[in-house]
Formats: sequence, structure tokens, C-alpha cells
Amino acid sequence: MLKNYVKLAIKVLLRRKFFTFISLFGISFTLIVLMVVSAFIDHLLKPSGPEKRSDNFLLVHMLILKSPDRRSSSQSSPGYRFLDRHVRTLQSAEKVAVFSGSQKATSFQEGRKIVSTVRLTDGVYWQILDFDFLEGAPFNSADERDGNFVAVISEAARIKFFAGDPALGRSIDFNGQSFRVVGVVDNVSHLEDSAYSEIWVPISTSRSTAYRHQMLGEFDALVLARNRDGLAKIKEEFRAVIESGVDFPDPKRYNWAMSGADTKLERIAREVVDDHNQFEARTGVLLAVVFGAMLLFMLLPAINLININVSRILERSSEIGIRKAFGASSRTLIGQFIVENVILTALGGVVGFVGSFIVLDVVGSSGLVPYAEFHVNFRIFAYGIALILFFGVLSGVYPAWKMSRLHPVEALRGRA
Amino acid sequence: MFRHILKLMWNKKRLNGLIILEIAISFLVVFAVTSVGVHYGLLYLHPLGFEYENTWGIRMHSGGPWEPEDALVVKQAMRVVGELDPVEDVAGMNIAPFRNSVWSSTVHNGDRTTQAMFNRATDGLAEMIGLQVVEGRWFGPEDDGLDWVPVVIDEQLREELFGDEDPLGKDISEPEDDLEPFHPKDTERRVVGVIADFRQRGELHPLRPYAFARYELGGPNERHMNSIHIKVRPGTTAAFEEELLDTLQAVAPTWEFSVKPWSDAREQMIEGLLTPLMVMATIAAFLMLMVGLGLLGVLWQNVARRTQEIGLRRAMGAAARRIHNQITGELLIIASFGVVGGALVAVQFPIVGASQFFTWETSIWSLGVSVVLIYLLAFVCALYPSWFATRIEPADALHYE
Repeated sequence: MLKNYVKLAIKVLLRRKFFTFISLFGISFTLIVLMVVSAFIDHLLKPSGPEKRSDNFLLVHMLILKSPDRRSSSQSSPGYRFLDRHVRTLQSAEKVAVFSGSQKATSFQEGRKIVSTVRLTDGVYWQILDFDFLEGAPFNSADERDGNFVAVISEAARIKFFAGDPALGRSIDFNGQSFRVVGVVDNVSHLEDSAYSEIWVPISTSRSTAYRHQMLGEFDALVLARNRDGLAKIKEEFRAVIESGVDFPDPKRYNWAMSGADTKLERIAREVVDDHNQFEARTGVLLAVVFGAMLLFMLLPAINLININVSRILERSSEIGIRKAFGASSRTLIGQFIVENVILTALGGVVGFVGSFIVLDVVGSSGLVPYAEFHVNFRIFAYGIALILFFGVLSGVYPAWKMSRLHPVEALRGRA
Repeated sequence: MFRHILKLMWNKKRLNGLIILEIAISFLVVFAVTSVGVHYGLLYLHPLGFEYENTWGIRMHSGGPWEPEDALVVKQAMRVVGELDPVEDVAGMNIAPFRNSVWSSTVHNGDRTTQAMFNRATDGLAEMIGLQVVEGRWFGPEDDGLDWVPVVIDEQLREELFGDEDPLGKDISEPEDDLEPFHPKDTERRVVGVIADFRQRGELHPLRPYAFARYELGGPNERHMNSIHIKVRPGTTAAFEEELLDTLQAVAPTWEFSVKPWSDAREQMIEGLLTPLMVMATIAAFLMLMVGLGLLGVLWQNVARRTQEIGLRRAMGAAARRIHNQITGELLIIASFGVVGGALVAVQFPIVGASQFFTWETSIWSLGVSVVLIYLLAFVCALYPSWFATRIEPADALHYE
């Protein structure tokens, strides 16, 4: 029986090719957008590169200082002094890494200008983030203490500087300084914003030591917890430090501080909602906006699908009438329409699935997000298919069911 | 005719209701995207207020907090760089254009106050980047050694702070605060000139009141100057950067320098703002294609079902053109309901002031564009089904069943 339904469904779909095409286009396009957006969010929140342990760490990335009368305030990334004294000393943390934001580095090779990004880090940085080393190894805390001019570079930098040849032990020059390459790592996606760079060097190779005295500056800190439950403990301890234990170098200028230790999601929420004035970031607002937008986006294809399905069924009222006249029950008819819808959705699913791969591949290689690798999220795909099936069945089977309850004569005349 | 069509539509209110809903949502999608596009388009039309070609910015960083003696390093750097061959002109401007960082401060004129973006500049800047002085003058050596800071404001700030008053010679600094005895008065900032609107962040950012304070290139200075800018001879390539950086590094070995042509910064800024719009527009275009195909399908199906009705009209002598108009007219009326519904929702955005993209000025444009686009979509979708309807032979229709 099922085999007959399938045969019948395929015949029907082929008979009105234009309608089938419109339905398939709607289904697969909706799926593709859903997949691409969710792959992007996944990539942002659940990194698969060096930040793969992001569930277990917090980022301290902003600091606000206010004057005694609270009229003047300064907001920026924290400085080295603040992180060194108040974050590195957190008792509840397993490990703390301090590193700079990524900066531009300029080099000249035989008159050719090379621009790359460089990041200053300490030794612990390499223990918290899991880089894939293609050559050599990271530099360590001793290198950072002694101010050794060593560098880890990415695959992309190796191609820029050495045309992709082995780089271990060779030297690279940028910003007028010369470094020995001790390691080469795989490229890192731009969206892993604590890990992303093309060159990494010890903090102590800075031209001046002024950074050591700065409360505000261009450094961030990653705080690794012993386990997931440890995150709350770290937050609590850091909050206590911010509220009462900050050591201000010039209390007449600034004597009030606000900061936060954020997970990936909290950090994004803080940026989007522009909410820097409190310790806890409000993630609820961000999630509501994202889900609201997704729902609205789904509404249009859903209505489109319903419209098409309804008119498709109306067209087939005489077919339903004939089948009724020959004794088909309502159940049989509904079974047939469900099979038809499932087949249509499955076809759309396949097209959407292949399309998602193609679009993600194009986006990945377009350089829109440098070095990002996007993956199709199967869970979201399943949700998408289920939603489409729901609307398909609702819009295709419900009118069919109503029609199947009509008297065959009425149905034959097309009175829905 | 119109009443007749309305009656036909009412007979199929449920299906038509869904189509109206679909068109209303489509209208909102088009409205959202065109609002952003129109917002940027209107901003782009306004003059930038300066020239950016062949101008390079050099950011300078001492590695620590600003010390008054650092001003001497900046002065020396400007002198040495000015002597290099391809450099035609050099000037100091604390915050480079086409970047997101801004410095804003409250300015005062009697009881009126407003928030203005500020910058510091040396005397040579106006000529180097072609600032147009519309009133008063730009800074010059006659300002040396004053106990107040000369300020040049742009037309936008003149408008907001002075209206029809003459701004020249007025002090715009914060007056002494009677309520807070410990809050001393700012250094006096006196307006010496007015320039055409200056748009520091580039063509795609909204106009903000703007002011330049003079930076005195003399001895040690309490205020900082973080970047200098050079005008290079046209055709100077990036290769010159190496010589430039070497020269600067020789002046201040412990400082860090980075060079970026203004045009590169401008392109980056524009790209950063337009990429999201492009992504949105692409998705919206595909959505509209999907909606269009859907409408075409529904309408075609509708015509096929009404063979009898249309055939009868033909048999009674209706011209093909009238049948055509009937089908197209039906869809356009349905679309009108959708457009009105969508527009009623859309005008809520500028009413509540949802975001900078939905001001009345942009919304009126984008409402217009959206209405035209949606009608165009409906019209194109109706073309084939209408033609199809005119092909129905009365004989076929009467034989129906």
C-alpha cells in the first residue's frame, strides 16, 4: 500500500512540476538560511579550534574606572597591571593567561609590504588554548620572563613570510624587531577572538615596559576553571575583588572600578546590548532578539508553503471525489496526502542539506570571516525539517481531510 | 467592476487572507532592508568635509601614559617626516578619521548645551586636507601663548549651539558649577572660526556636531597628540612605508608606530558597514523570489479553477483585455490590503524611534520604495496567469465537467 502511495506521490509531484519546484525552493531555501545562521552561531559559541575548552573558561575583557565624584569615567580593555594583580591572583582559578588584543604588524621583505596580526601573550596562554602545532612547540613562561625574542606563527603567516616552507628556527622581522620562529600552528578562525592571530610573541618583548603600570590598556585575561561548577566560584571571587579589593595607583583620579568575567555568550551579549556597567551581562535580551528574528524569518516561508499547499489541494478536489466515489475512506486519503508531503519535505531537505554545505563552503572560503570553518549542525537541521513537516502536514492534509468528509458528489464538483 | 472584484475576493476570504498576510510580511521585510539602504544612501550624499586621497595616518604610541615631554618627540617626528622626499605636507590630528573612536565633550553657550565630537589639530591641518572655512579663520601662529584654547566648530555645531547668533569669540567651555564647589571651570575654549560639516567617521555615519581645538606645537604639552598625518605625492606606493617607519623609529626607538592610508581605512569602514546590509539584502531578495513564485503558483491555480467563470464572461463578449485586467486587478487589490497592513506596522518604527535607521526622513523614502517594489512584484506575478486566463476558449469553458 505504502509503495502505491509513494508511486502516486511521485507521479503527482511530476505532473505539476512548477508547483513542486516552488514548494521545493521554499523548503530548501528556508533550511539553507536556518543552517547557515545556526552554523555561524555554533561557530561563535562552541568553537572547535583552540578555544575548544571555552565551556570551562571566562574572559576578563573590559574595565571601567570612575573618578571620586563619578563624573569622569574611562572604559577600555584592562591594563596589564590590573590583570596581573587582581586576576592572576584569583584563588579559585586553575590557570590564568594574560594576553593582548590582536594588533597590526608591518614587515617589509624585498620591498614587499606584509601586514599581519600579532598578539602578545604569556606562557600560560598556550596551556589554556589548544592550538594544533604543525611544527615545533609554544614558547613558555621562562621565555616570557626572560624576554626572549621568539614567535609562534600561523600557517597563513608561514605562507606570507616563507612561501609555506618549514619555518622552524628561521627569523621573521616586523615592526622593526626580529624574532626566531619556535612553532607553527594551524590557522585560527577570526571568530575565536581570544585565540585568533597570525603571530604570537611574549609580552615582555614589548619595546617599553610601560604596560606593567597600566590599569587600562589593551590586555585580556582568560581564567580557566577546574570544572564547570568552578565558573560560578571564580565569578564570585572576582566580584568581591572588584567591589572592594582593587588597588588604585592614583586614587584621586580613579577610585571606583567595574569589570566582569564573561563566558562566550555573555561577552557577545555585552557587546550587542552595550551593557558594560554591571558585573553580570544580560544574555536574556540577546537570546530573545535572536530567537525573535529567527521566528519572524520562518513565518514568511511557512505562510508561503501553506498558500501553495492549500491551492494544490483545491485543485485536486475532483480526484478526491472520484476516489471517494470508488470507496476510499478518509483515512486512506489522509495517508496518501501525508506520504506526499513527507516525500516533498524529504526532497526539499536533501536539496537544502546539499545547499547548506555549498553555501557554508562558499562563505568559509570567501574570506568574510578569515580562516573560519563552518559545520552543518544536524540538530538544527532536524528541527528545521520537523517544522517544515508540521506546516506541510497542517496545510496540505487538513484541507484534504475536510474535503474527504464531503459527499463525493460535492467533492467531484469542486466545492471545497 | 471594483465592487465585483471585492465580492469575488470575499467569497474566498480564507485563502485571500493568507495571501494578504504574506504580502504584508513581505512588505515589512522589504521595508526593513530598504530603510537601512536609504539611511546609508542619504548619508552618503552629504559632503564629507575633507579630502582623503593620498593622505596617510601615522599612529604613535609611547607605550605608556602621556608625558608632557612626549610632545617634543611628536614635534621632532613631524619635522623629520616632513623632510622626506614624497611627503608634501604634514600635520597633527589626534584622532584619525574613518575610525570608530571618538572623543566627545559637552559644549555650552549660555543656557544651551550640546554634546559635540572633539579633536585636536595643528595649524597645518586645514590646508592639508582641504577644510573649508566658512566664517572666521582657522588656527595660526597668532594663537601661540594664549591662556585660552582656540576652537573651530563646524556648521552643524554652530546650528545647534548658536542658531542665528554669531559664534565668533564666544566661550563654549563648561561654566563653573555653583552646586559643586570642587568642580573647577574648564580651560576657556573660544570659537575663532566655522568650517563646513566635518564627518570624522566617514560618509556612512550620521552627522554630529564637531569641533577642533588647537594643538600648540611648542614646548612640553600636557595634552596628547596620538597621530600625525602626511600628504604624499600622488603615486607613492606602500614601499615608502618602510623608509617612513625606519625614520620614525630612529627618532623614538622605544615608541611604536603604525601607518595606514586614509583611503584604506575608509574602504574598511564602508565595507564593515555594508557587508551586513548585503547579506540582509541577498536573503531578502531570495525571500521575495520565493514569495513571487508562490503568488504566481496560487494565482495560476486560481485561474485554472475558474475556467467556467472566465469562459462565461468571454462567451458574453468580454474582451481579452478586460479578462486580463480582472485577474491583475484582483491581485493588485489583494496586494493593496497587504501593503496597507504592512505599512501600518512599518510606520510604528519611526513613531517609536526604534533605531537610527527608522527616522521619518528615511522611512518616507523606504515606505515609497517598498510600496513600488511590492506592487511591481504583484504585477509581475500576475502577468502569466492573466495571459493564461485570456487564452481560455469560451467553448472549452462551457464544455467543462
